[in-house]
Amino acid sequence: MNDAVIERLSRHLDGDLEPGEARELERALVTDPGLRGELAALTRVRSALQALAESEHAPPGLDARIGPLRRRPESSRPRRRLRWLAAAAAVVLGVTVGVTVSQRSPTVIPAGEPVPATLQAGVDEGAPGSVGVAPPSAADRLEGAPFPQALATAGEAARPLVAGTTPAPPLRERAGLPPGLADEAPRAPTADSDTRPAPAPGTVVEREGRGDPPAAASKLGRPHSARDNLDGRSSAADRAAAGRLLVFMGGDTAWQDFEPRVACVAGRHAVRVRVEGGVVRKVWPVWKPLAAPFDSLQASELVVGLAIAGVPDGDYAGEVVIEGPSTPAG
Amino acid sequence: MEGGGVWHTGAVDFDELYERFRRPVWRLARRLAGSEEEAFDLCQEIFLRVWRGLPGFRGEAQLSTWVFQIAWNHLRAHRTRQSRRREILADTVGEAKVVLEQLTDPRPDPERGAAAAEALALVAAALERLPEHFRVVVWLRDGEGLSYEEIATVLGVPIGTVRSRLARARALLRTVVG
Repeated sequence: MNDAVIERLSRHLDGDLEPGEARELERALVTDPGLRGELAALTRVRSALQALAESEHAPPGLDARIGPLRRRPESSRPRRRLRWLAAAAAVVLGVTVGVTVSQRSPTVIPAGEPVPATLQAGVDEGAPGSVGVAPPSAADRLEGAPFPQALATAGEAARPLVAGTTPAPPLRERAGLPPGLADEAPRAPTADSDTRPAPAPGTVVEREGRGDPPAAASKLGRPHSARDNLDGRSSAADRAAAGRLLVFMGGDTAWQDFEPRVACVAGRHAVRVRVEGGVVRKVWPVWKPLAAPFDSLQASELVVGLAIAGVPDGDYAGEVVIEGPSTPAG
Repeated sequence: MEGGGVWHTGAVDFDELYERFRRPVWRLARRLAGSEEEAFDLCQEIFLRVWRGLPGFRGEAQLSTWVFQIAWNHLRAHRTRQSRRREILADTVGEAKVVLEQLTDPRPDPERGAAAAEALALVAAALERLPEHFRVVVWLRDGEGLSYEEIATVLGVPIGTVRSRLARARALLRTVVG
């Protein structure tokens, strides 16, 4: 049976034929047993594939992997807004937390391997208690290397996540998309669609290009003031170099509703962490103690999970350091 | 920005999206990945991309088309990177013959259950041996129920290509499913 006939039968199976074509084929089916047999065979193929689809379920482990991205909208209920859940003890937060994060760190952590010693702890003098900060566990694979291929596409050199000065990261305009993602995340087609995704509300549109333009390099020559960013006064150059860091407290399900969503520039970002019953309740900037909650701490493609365990209730100073091109290591 | 928090900046809530597409994305990844472990990793990466792109989703396209498009692009890119080429078969996709009743028999007979599982495995294996451009079309149509137009959008090919590839894929698979 030739391909044209097979295609007509296949389309007939899906109701894709024009009415005239369908009538003609149905007449032929009445008189041609071979044609009927072929149609029956194609029907069995379809049924077999449907049965296969019905039989397949996503593995349970997938939910755990995707867990940190999942969250029911609960913003209308303040009590639930502030709900933080401590889950896997990937990181034990003590009195003070200092997290040193390279903007490009996630690019080099193979999936399934523990994040290397990149989260560094420090203790504020006078603060009671002890500090223990450990890298996220291997179980936190989601946080390991979410976009290795995207970065490979971008041609960036892989680099271990270490404390210290890092070279200037390439700048790009991705409107909230990670490097390389804009190539893969399709935009919904529109009549006048262009090739660039529209900026989403609340995302920072970064500048296109690679390397640091002079303005950005100059601006980044000093440690950034987190206040600049939080006050909404950060310059375009700042934002161009801004990384995005999502701080997930407590692994799978514990995170804060940060509103509005603002990207942090490279630099040192002091925050206070409020712990209640071993569960993080709030994070907010120390210089705006009455303003809560803190904007999301966002840096490129890195998710830092902090699980809180075994510390007394109270407020603890902490900080997140996002290394920029010229920012001294924290 | 809507008031639903950072995960609710677009028209669609990620959690709901994940519930709806967890299985379809997994199945597509399973169809196109070389192993379950690989599919697992790819699935995670796909949902990360969906999550990242969700604030920009404006609803001009169907959500299913959008999600599958992300999945397909990611899976295809992965395959390109892996430089793994599936064997293209000219006339057949398998020697074994699956009897359809084995696939659909609802009776809870352990033996029949085993037979059904075996039959499904044969179908999956036959699918795996199809050329990728045939495999993805027939799976999106018969496995996931997408329309021709949706498949054309997801894959970025003309609808006529969808029709011809689908027919060819079904014809190849009919040698297995009897």
